[in-house]
Amino acid sequence: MKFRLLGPVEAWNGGQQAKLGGAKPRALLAALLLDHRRIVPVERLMEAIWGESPPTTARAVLQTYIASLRRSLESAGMTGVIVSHPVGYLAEVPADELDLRVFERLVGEGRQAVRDRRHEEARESLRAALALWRGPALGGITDSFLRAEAMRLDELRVTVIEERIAAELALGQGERLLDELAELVALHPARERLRRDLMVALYRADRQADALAVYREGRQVLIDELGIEPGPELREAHEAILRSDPALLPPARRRRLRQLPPPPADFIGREEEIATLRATLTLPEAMPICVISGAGGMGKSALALRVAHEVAEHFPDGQLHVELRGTSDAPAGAEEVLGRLLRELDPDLSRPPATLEERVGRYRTLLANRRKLVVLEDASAEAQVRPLLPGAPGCAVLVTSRNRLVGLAGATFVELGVLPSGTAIDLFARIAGEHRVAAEHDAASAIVKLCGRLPLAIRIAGARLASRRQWPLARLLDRLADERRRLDELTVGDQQVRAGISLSYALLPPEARTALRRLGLMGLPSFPAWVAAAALETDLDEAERILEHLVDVSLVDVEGDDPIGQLRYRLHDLIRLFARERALAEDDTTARAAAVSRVLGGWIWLVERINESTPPYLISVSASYRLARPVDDRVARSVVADPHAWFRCEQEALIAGVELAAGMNLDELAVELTAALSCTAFGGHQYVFDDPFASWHRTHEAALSAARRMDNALGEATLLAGLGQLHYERDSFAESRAHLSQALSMFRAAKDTRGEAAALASLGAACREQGYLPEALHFLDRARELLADFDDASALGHVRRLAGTVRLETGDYPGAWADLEAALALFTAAGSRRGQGLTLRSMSLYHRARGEAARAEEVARRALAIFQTADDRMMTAYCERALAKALLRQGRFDEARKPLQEALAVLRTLQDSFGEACTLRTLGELHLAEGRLYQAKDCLEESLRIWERLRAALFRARTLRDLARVHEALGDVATAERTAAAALEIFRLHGSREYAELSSPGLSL
Amino acid sequence: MAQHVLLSDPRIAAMPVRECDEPLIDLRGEQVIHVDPRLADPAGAYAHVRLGVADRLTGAQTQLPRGLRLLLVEGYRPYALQERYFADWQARMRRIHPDWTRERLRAEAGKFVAPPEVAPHVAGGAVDVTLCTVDGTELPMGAEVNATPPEHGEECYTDAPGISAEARSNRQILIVAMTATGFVNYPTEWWHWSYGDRYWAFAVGAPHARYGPVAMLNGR
Repeated sequence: MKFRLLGPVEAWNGGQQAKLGGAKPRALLAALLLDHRRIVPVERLMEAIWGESPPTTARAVLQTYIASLRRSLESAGMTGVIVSHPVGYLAEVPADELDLRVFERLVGEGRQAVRDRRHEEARESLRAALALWRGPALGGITDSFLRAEAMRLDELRVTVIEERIAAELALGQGERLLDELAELVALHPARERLRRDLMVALYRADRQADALAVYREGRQVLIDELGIEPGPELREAHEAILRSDPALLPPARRRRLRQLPPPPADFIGREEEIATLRATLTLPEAMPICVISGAGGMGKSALALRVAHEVAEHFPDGQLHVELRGTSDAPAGAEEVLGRLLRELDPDLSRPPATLEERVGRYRTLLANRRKLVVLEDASAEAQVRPLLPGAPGCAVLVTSRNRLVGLAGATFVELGVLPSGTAIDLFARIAGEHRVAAEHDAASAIVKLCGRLPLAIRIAGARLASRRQWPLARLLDRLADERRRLDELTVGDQQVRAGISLSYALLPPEARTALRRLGLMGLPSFPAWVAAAALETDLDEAERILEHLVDVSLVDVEGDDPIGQLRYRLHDLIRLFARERALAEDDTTARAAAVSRVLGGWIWLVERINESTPPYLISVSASYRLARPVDDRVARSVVADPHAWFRCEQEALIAGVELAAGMNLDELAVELTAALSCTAFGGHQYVFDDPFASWHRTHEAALSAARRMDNALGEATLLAGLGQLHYERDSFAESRAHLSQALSMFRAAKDTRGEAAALASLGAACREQGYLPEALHFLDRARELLADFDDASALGHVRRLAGTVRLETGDYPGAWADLEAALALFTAAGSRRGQGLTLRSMSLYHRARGEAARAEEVARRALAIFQTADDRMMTAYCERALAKALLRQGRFDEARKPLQEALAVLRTLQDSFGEACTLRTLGELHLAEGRLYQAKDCLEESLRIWERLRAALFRARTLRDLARVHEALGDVATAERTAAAALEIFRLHGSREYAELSSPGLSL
Repeated sequence: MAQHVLLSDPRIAAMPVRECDEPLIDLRGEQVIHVDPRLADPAGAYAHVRLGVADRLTGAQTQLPRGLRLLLVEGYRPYALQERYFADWQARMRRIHPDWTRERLRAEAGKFVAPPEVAPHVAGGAVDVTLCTVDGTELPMGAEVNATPPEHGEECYTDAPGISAEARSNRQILIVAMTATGFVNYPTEWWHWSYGDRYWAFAVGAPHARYGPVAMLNGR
């Protein structure tokens, strides 16, 4: 691009800008360019320069201007641009070298794409078109007909913004546009289209009330200022919001989920119940809720799945399936369930909303006007179900529960009783074999009677027979009758099932009995085979063989493959309870503790493997995990291949494991697993659980109470440090520091210097994050003193790098450099490439602060190479940005631009707000350096919004300082001064180096 | 806090100490907490506190609103100095009440100066602090640091009702920050806070104090 009208009038050749002189020659060039490649008469040019009253010497002066323009263009290497003609002049500029023409072409393409409903291309074209704008058109020319032309162009720009936003809305955007739209509406309160789009975006962000308020406010503006009522488009949007019109919702969000597990294979009977459920669930224009209740083993789940599959076609938008674990010790919380569902329903959702109310709101919005079937299994009570009910007709809900849940208003209740004897025998025959039942019909009906005509009991008894081909039915009958008699004396309720389980258990080979007991003891919601191997202290193949046997006799169910390709198993809760009772009766405390230790040890070991493959960047509180126990290599490989997926599918089991160990007073085990987990989750891995905070909190709380009960001060300190880290990750820095201080005292009291150093380092980091600079140095330097006694170069390097960056902030350059050099040497000695990369990047910041741009570039490139080799996308993006900044300082704008844009895209994908804000700020600086003032303002303001959210005051101040420069360039001196003063005050309060730099005389902005 | 427990209360002296041997450190060398020299002694004892107290003060400072800092007036006080303070007070009392017994004199003096064996400052666990701005300007707190009766009135009580709204709000800022970091206030002196000493252990219900009387070594 050479000639620019969309902003100050400029002419460029490569990186060289022609010196066009004052306002008049610029007006002249503008007039020529507006009609480029056409002859512009002398009179019109005169009018462009002087308006309607040109001086008498105008013609002569015009010629001088032309000559001077030609000279300045030529000295920038552009010849033959202005061509003379008898009646005027002509600008010989190809269309693609004039920004206005490029703009018009891109807008044309964008509009065509809109007509063809290619919204993504439309958005890109319009975005590219708008990116050409650098400030008010023609540099805010105030004279002559050019002013009218400039106003027309400015108006066109806003229209194109509207079109771009329309394209984004069509692509399903909403929330992301809110800030921009709010600002545009504030600037152009009477533009109805912008206002309508703001209303739609608000509605999509579940802010219906705000959307309506925006309408009311707009109506008032129109009445007050123009004396008119809102136009039809705005009114229609208003009405649509009032009636929650689905057309307002983004089309892209419609996602069809098919989550139903396969239907039961040998289901029979329950015809009446099926008919009732089918009829109710498929009622049009209602939101039917059906509750299947009944005792354990009655076949509630089988019936629910059977019906759900039957009616699935009535729910074209998909079927959701949720295990509420109501009969377990830890029923699923609504936050957790909604967190998972929201992410599954809306893949664009970066993070589920924080509060339960917001989650419920979002969930209902996503289900509004959809036809989805929601299957909620094993609910404990009405309260557990209510937050999961969709808000409006279209969806249907099917619940199973031990309890009747009569408090669910408007629900249809189906209570399952035992099977009629005919059906019961049919079921038994189907499993045990038709011919055997036919041969011993009386024995069969006696068995079925002993099973209480309970489907689960019949299934277990039948499976037992199926695996003992040579047994006559009568033999099973005798054994079962014995078992019943024994149980009758012991328990009331569930005897029928228990008799079956108990008999089946007695007939198992010893290793299968042990396996069942230990799996019952573990009480996991579901588990892969290696867990059984660890519990049994055997190898994986043997464990799989035993599990297969247990599956054959219906004591263990196969749940299916998990995301990392392991087959997962589960126990029916009645069987789990039985197995747990057997474990408590048959195994002594030592044996039980050993089994639990082996399984948790396996998890600890697996987590260590993950940390090994991607080392967490934290000083671990403990040097090693004593209780880790190796697991089969095949398992380790698939876990390390996709740790994220593994964490997701293992989450429930991991939490249950920590709680179990804590409950058994195996405090050391609970502490180690919790610490290992939190180290992984926080050490740069950022595994996002459905409700990460709640999950980690649960493990920490459970382990903490065990540590306290057992007077395990070191364990308590470790967990408090973990909680501190947890709050740090949540940006709750004050709470983080409170927990870390407690941990610090306890480590100190226990004379655990490593823990003390780790707590001090974390405290320092938590202070640094919020710009508490002297405080950060206090803690970091103290950590450094302690670490000097350890042979842990990497930990010491970490602390010294952090201290170096803090000293850099305070303007202590010699101190900063000493720290950074030491950090680099330490990381090199430790062989930590990551540490070296991070330190080199910090060194780049140092050189930049010292004005050594070339050296800054060099070290940034070295850092970049390290992270590129390591395939670390996030840090690569950070280094790209550091490099771009160094280039920017050297005036190498073209080289800086692309890496910056790529870095921004990567950081957005990774949802790293901090990096995003940093990069936006640098982009803003680049735009400013190249004279694109609007873009500079946009980027910096977006960056500011993120800093505000992160409460990162120092970074905010730096961005404000840049923004002040933009306001100055835009000619808004008052705002520039106000903004700069705000920045200066923040620098002063934090004691950062910029205060001294900015407040000393001779240095302006 | 009308019925607060005095330092001279026998329950404080009965509090066991499990000395944790944390060193005293000089806050002047740390450059994180401002130190006021008004009570400076030649050895610089006043600027010393236990390591854990230094960490907590640093933590407390991050709880203050931006632009405010803690200002330390006095930290550690050597045993001999505390003994002298205590003896001076007893002498003062004896002049006014020549008829009082030794025990009575001790008890009455103990209302204003801590007996050395329980004195929080001697343990390195107590600090007299106030608030200042980043530039070092002290904030009005409604009474000077160390403005004790009988010369001064009840305005030195932490919850004194008669002070200005500004002073009250400044005290509240101090209270929030110090309490959040585990310090305990001595209710007749708004500036006096301690951690780890006998009084602290009694106030928070800890099984034992962490800091007993300590001697200052050279260096730290």
